[in-house]
Amino acid sequence: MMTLSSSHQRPIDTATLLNIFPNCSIIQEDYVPQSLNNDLNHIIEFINYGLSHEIRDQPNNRVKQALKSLFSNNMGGKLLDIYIDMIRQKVCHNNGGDDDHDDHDGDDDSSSIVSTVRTIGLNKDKFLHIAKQLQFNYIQIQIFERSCNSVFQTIIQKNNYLSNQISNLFKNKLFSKNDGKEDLLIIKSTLQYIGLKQHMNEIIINVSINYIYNFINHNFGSRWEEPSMNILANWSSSVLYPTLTNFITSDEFNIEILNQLVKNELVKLRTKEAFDIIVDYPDSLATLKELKYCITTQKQRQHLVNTFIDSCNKRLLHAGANTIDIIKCYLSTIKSFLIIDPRGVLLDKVCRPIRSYLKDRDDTIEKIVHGLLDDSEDNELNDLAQELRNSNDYITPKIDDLNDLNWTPDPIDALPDFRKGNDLIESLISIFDSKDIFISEFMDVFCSDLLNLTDYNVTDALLKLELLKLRFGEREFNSLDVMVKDLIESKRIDHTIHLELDERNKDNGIFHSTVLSYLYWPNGAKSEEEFVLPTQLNNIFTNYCSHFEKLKQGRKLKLFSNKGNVELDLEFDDNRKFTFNVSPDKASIIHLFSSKEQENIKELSIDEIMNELQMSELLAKRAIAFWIKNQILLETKSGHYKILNSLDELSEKEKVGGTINNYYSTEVGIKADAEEEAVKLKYWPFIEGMLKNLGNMELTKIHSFLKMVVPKDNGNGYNLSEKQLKEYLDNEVKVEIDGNGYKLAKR
Amino acid sequence: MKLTIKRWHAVTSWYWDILNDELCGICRVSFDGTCPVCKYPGDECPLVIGECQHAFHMHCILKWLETDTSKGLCPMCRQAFKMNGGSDILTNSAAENDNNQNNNLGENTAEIVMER
Ligand SMILES: [Zn+2]
Ligand SMILES: [Zn+2]
Ligand SMILES: [Zn+2]
Repeated sequence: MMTLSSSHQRPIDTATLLNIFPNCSIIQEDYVPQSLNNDLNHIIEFINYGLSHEIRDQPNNRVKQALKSLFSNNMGGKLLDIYIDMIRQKVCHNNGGDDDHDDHDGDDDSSSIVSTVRTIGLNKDKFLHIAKQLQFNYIQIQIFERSCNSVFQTIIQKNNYLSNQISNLFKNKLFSKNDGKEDLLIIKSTLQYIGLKQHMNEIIINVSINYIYNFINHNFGSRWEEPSMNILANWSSSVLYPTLTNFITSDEFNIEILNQLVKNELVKLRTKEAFDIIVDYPDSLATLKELKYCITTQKQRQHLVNTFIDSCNKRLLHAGANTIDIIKCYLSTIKSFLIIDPRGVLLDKVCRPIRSYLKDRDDTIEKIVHGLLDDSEDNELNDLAQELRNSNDYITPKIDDLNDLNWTPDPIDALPDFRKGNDLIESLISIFDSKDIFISEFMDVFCSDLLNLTDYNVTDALLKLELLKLRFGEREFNSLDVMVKDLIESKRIDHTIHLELDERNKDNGIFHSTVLSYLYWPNGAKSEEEFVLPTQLNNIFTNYCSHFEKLKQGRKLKLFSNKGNVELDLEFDDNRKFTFNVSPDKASIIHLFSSKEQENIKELSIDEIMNELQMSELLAKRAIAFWIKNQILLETKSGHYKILNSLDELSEKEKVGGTINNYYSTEVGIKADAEEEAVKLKYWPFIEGMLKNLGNMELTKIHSFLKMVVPKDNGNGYNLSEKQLKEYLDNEVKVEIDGNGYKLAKR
Repeated sequence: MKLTIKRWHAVTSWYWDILNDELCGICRVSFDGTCPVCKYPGDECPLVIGECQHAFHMHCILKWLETDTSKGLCPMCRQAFKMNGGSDILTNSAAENDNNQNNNLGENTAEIVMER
């Protein structure tokens, strides 16, 4: 510990002084008469005694006389220099070895710090007392005190251990409910005493800022539904401020400054949380509004922008994130940043990386288009569909600016397109240089929607088409207009034909058709896998054709045999009854079995089926697999099938499944077909890719691979059980069993 | 097993039953598409076949015949262009379309329209 009394120390005389301070002016430059030199030695002896003892003796007469003699010879200034040097030397000497404290860190430190600091105060008292005894004048005393302060300041500021200990002490005790504030007050007043008021204030402010941040983080971190500023302001004025006024002595410190500190720390926390806050939108609305009000400086804005972009890059803009999530986040970013900064300057900055990332993603347009057109509740980008529906507002761009008193001029660093964020759809479209690329996507979606219609009802399609035209301009929608009009015209034709139908042939009444102007439909409209209908079905179609040809002279109809939808009932001797909605290939196959049964042919081979219907093996096997799964057909031996007329024909094990199937086929079976197909289409590219690369894979491996790689878009990622996967693979003609695993079939 | 097909909603496409060409000799667009003026194919942009068996979008050949250079000849074979067929193939809808299309149809246009 630092003490100034050391019994081993020799008193200092001028010779020693010269030794220690070779440049010391009084000794070197001037000739000092012997008598004055003696006086000086007396005084130095007096000082040394004073410095080494606690007892404060008055100077004796000899010293008084020496002082008188010195001052009358104008050597007061020199004596002051000598005294200051002595102090410096003494303090530095005694304090030199104190740096080796850094290793231990015990509870005692608190009291040892306090006593160290207290000693500094006491020493300054002593030094000042001696100075006064030396009869320096007012100005000299001031000079001495300043020098003395700077010696002590050096000790505290240059000694990391000490200043850290002081900071820690304040950190632990300043806001604690326990006692111990006396220690802090001693330290605070001592530091002020030696001229470290500013330093002390800084320590306190830093400790406070830290404390405020932790408090906010603890109470409001990750909580964004409610505003926090009211509670914080209350806390600040009732808890923080009263504590701090005891320690901070400054005219510049007041409650407003404290509240600003609190706001800054809130901004710091919210900036750190920015990405999650924005993902949480609109639940985080309160926090966003509060942030707008709390964020005040350019530096804070810049920090918010940088932090958010960083998080985007780390957490969103990478291959593992799915496109819908990125679009959702982009939309939330737009809405959120317009709340924080309605001028859109910040938005423009944070949008850029997301926009350029979306631009490079293959499926962005597809997802946007589905988001716009899908009215169902499953639509994860429902905001887009909603906004499209409200598009009528869009025709007249709002000119709010003129009426808005809070209008601020566009800042110079704002870029021309920064207002694009005001309209979500526009801000997504504008990611891409041309609107044209959306059109073909629209056509695909309309194509599949329109082809799924069996009631010719285009009200919904027409509405969407009009809304899209408002956004994308009329010009590009020619084909879509023709497509929708085809449906309207088809309905008219169908109605007319049905009026003229020969009532005697009931069969003809079941047929309806959507008639396409094929040049205007995307490729998806054309069926890839054509086949020949069973005669009875084909007759129904030809009959319809002849009516069409009469109605539209010079024109004929071509059937897309594999498109469309057939609704059929199946009844069995064992009272099973089913209704199915299936594609024409499946209808044709079951029709083939049914008519062969009437000719007493019970069993058909795959080759016979392919031959009768001119159907590809792939299509035929898929359809057969569907009927087997629904327990309508039964495989008798490899590649041979028959109608399953009674469940008794099944083995016991199959029967159990059978009753379950029986139960839901009537209900769910209607949709099952389309869904099953969709599922297979979804997984097939992944399976094909894996098998292509790896040759042969075991079921378990394929299963776990799919779990990893199939994107979880729309909540329908890979969700088959291993058993379902096996069933699918066993029925999939494009793969074949190879040892313990599967490989791609040779074609 | 008893199979009852209750409803069959098929997808078909229409096409002009033209033997020789697929493209209109004047505008080089498929017959199943439209002339350069029309938006909707089929009813609104019908075809005509001349006695020479050359077929055109009706609007294309009418426009051609109006020009001085045509001299009333078929642009493909340079024979006088005469409509193939009789007045029985005029339709009301075609007459309506004429108005819509803002074409100055000649007196005998009615005879050339291949619509009901
Ligand atoms: Zn033409
Ligand atoms: Zn035309
Ligand atoms: Zn000709």
